[in-house]
Parts: sequence; structure tokens; C-alpha cells
Amino acid sequence: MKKLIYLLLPLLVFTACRKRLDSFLFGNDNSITEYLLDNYTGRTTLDVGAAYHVEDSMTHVFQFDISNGAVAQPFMISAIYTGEISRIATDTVILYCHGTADHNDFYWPRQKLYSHLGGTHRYGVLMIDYPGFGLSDGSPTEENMYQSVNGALKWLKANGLTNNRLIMFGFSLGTASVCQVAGNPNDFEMQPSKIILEAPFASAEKMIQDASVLGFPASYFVSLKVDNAIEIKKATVPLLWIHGKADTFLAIDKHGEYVFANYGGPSKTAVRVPGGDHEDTPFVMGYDAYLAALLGFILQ
Amino acid sequence: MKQLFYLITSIFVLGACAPSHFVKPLEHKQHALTASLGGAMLKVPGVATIPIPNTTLGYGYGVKQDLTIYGNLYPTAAVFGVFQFDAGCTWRFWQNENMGASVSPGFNFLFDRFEKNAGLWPQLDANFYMNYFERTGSSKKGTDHQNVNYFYVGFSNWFQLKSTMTLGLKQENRLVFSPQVGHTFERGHWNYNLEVKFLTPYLSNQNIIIDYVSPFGKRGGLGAFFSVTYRL
Repeated sequence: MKKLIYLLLPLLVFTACRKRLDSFLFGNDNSITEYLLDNYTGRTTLDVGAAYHVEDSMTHVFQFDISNGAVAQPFMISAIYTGEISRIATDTVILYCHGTADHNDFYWPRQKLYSHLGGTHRYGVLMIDYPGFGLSDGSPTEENMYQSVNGALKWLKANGLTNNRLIMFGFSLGTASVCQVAGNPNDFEMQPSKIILEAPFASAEKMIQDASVLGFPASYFVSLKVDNAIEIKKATVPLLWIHGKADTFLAIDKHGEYVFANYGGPSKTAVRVPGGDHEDTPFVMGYDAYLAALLGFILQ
Repeated sequence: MKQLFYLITSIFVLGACAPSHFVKPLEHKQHALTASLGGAMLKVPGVATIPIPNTTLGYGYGVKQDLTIYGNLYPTAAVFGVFQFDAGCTWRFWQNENMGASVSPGFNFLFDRFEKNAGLWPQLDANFYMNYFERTGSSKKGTDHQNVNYFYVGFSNWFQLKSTMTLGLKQENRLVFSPQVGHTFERGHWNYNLEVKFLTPYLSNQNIIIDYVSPFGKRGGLGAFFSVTYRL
């Protein structure tokens, strides 16, 4: 019996640990000291070439504070806005919620691409780094991610944007924020008029169960509550869904299709891209065709 | 994004597989302590292809000559706030001079301290073993003991009691089947065991968030384990 107790004691001590694996869901890199944008030599999501160049004068790198009364220190979020900030009060703006890799430099080619949607700078594009990503303060958690997106909405609102001119666009991890806002608009500063989801995942638990075969609850490993397939049911604004049919990471039939099927809003459009993998769908589709699909949805 | 999930999903694999427990039953009224290390082989980008370092600590007792009961705790899972243990028995239902066969019915229980989710997965293992080397050795104290080498082949089955998965989806894999081969060196009070488990070789390992290493290419995974047993 004593031996059994000796065995159990260390296990109970271990079980008291609160180590979670959430941090591994975020591929953040906060080792950079500045955004290099076109001069960035690290890996990037796409190579869009010179055709989608954005002038320095139309590129605004800035920070906003998302600290609240409970936080003594400033909690700064780094952002990049392409377009004229003075026109936010009259233009339609896309808030782009990037995926989980690295930081804004990784996704800068996508921001440039969207800056040419329907013509150069027809739409302003705001992209932020979540807490713990790039130059943003804090640590990467689900709640911090939502708070940073809410901070971006607050910034846009302060610059004159109204709900009817806000479009939220999420890619991969970023779809969690878009679904959260669309499903719970009263919890956020603004509500988008339309949402775009590219390569969304159904839920954290779905990813876990697909990989493990066994039906383990997500809580065995992570504290994440991300459940896009549920949140999207509450959305009341039009949806455009884009997903590569050859996505080897978030398989279209295991993730995107569930989100699309569960959507409960007034209008939905699907673009299933043959041959498209997780990151390269715009390239595989062709940038012009990809942008045309986005523009067609926005102008509907 | 893919590599972000390697460690997470490795834990699933941790939970899902461990080496066979007591392929051969203990002697009547014999006690034993066991420890194991290993798990599914994964390609971890920028690191290597490695077996997941899952650990178990266990205890066994020979109830009868052919019946051993056992239980195992999972310290690695505990580090992540998940209490996991398995328990069961090994019954040798057939043997002759150099070989035998056993079955090990049992269950696995998991409980997390965060959302209090508890789960039970029954398990049924079966193994056939054959001794191919037996020799009497002497310890430094001058006492004699048997040195035995044997290998075994068998299979492990996990059963999923819940018929649905997340999002209300039907659980397509109520039975999770994994064959195994292993080898044991018995040296006095100590057993040293190596086991390779072929994890669900009939299921696709494609389009999920980790890269399993499998001898069957796009199906299944491969587990590698080392365990030691001290027989009192």
C-alpha cells in the first residue's frame, strides 16, 4: 500500500500542473524590431510580385492601445493600414485577420493584394498583429486575440468607420476572430456588414479529434474555446467562403464545409478552389480571379 | 500553422498508446513495478523524427499462476493537468513448453482538471509469445536466476463508447485497432522490453494537423516503446 501511495503522490503533484498547450496553437514570432514589409527576406505567405506594389505614402504602420482599467501598463497592438486614413470616414474598409504564422511581414503580400481589390486603394485594408505576434505586446491567447481585434474595430470606429462599410476578412486562425465578432456583435465595438472566411477551421476540438482518431475532449490539451462552426450559426451578415480543395492542413471536407453548412445568415457564397492548398489558394486560383471573386461578393 | 500542432497532437498520441502490459503473467503472488517511455513516431519540423516521450508508471500482481492484475499511471499527461490511468488483467489462456498466449482486458480513464471532462475507453489486447533463449545465470551474490529472451506479436484494441464526436458528428471508428511486435529480455528480477506498435494501419493519416511516420505510407502510424519491469 505504501508503494502505491509513493506512486500516486508524484502523480497528484504532476496533475496540479496547469501546463496547457494553447501557446502551440499560435505560430507567433515576436523577435523582430521593425516591420520590413517589401524588404522582408523571411518566408511569406505569397509572392505577389511588383504588380501589387503599395506606395510607402499609402502604408501606415502604427500602434494602438488596448489596455483597460484593469491593466496598469499600456498594451500596444501593432497595425498596418494601407490607404488614406483620412478616407476611413467615407470608404469601405477591410479588416484583415491574418493566420497564425509569424507576424505582419509574413502576411504583407496579402495586404498588398487586397489593397488592389477593384483598383488600387479602392478599399482601405487594416491588418494587425495579435498579442505576442510581431511588434505587439502581450502573449498570444484566444482572449487577447479577440481583444486586439476589438481594439482594431475601436480604432476604425474612432476614425469614422460605420458598420455598413466594414468588411471582416479572416484567414485560417483569423477566422476565429471573424466568427466571434459575427456571432457575438454586441460584445465588440462594431459589426461587419459582410464577412469573408478563407480556409476556416471548424473548431479546435475538431482538429484535435481528427488527428487523434479518439474522441478526446479539447480540454485534455488546450483551453481554447474556438468553435467557428457554432459561432457562424449566429451570423446575420452575408458570408463568402473560400477554401482550397487540396488543403492538407485544414481539409475542406473536415473543416470548411461544416462552417459553410452551419452558417445561419441571409446569404452565403462558396468558392472551392481545385488544387488549392492551405496558403496558396490565391495563387492557384490566379490573383485576378481571386480578387474578382472577392470584389463580386463585396459589391453584391 | 502545421507545426504549431505537433506537440498538441503528440499528446493525443500519448494518451492513446502505451506498450503492452504483462504479455506474460507474473508468478503467483509476485509483485512488479514497471515504467515505460515512448509513443508514436512523428516528424517534428526542424527537430527530427522522434517517438513521443510518453511515460507510464505501473504496478502488477500475480493473482494466480496465469492471471496478473495491473494498473498504470501517466505522468506526462499529468503534467498537462490530465489524470490518466489504465487498469486491467492479463490472463494466459494457453501455453506449452516455450510459448504461450494471453489476453489483457482493461480500461483507460482520463479526467482533466480544467473542465472536468472524464472519459473511459475499454481496451482489449492479445499477444502470442515465444521463448527462444533460456539460460541459468549467476548474480554477483552467487545466486542463480533464469535469463530468458522472448518475442511476441499481438494486437491492441481501444473501444470508443461514445457514438458521436464534436459537432455531433458520427464516430466512425468505434474500434481502434493496432497490432504490435515486441521483444523482452528477462534478466533476473529485471525485464527490458522493446515494442513497436503499428497504429491504426487501416486509417488515412493524410490531411490532418500532424505528420505521422508510418511504414504503410499514407495510412496509420508507428509507435516505439521501451519499458522496464522489476519483479519483486
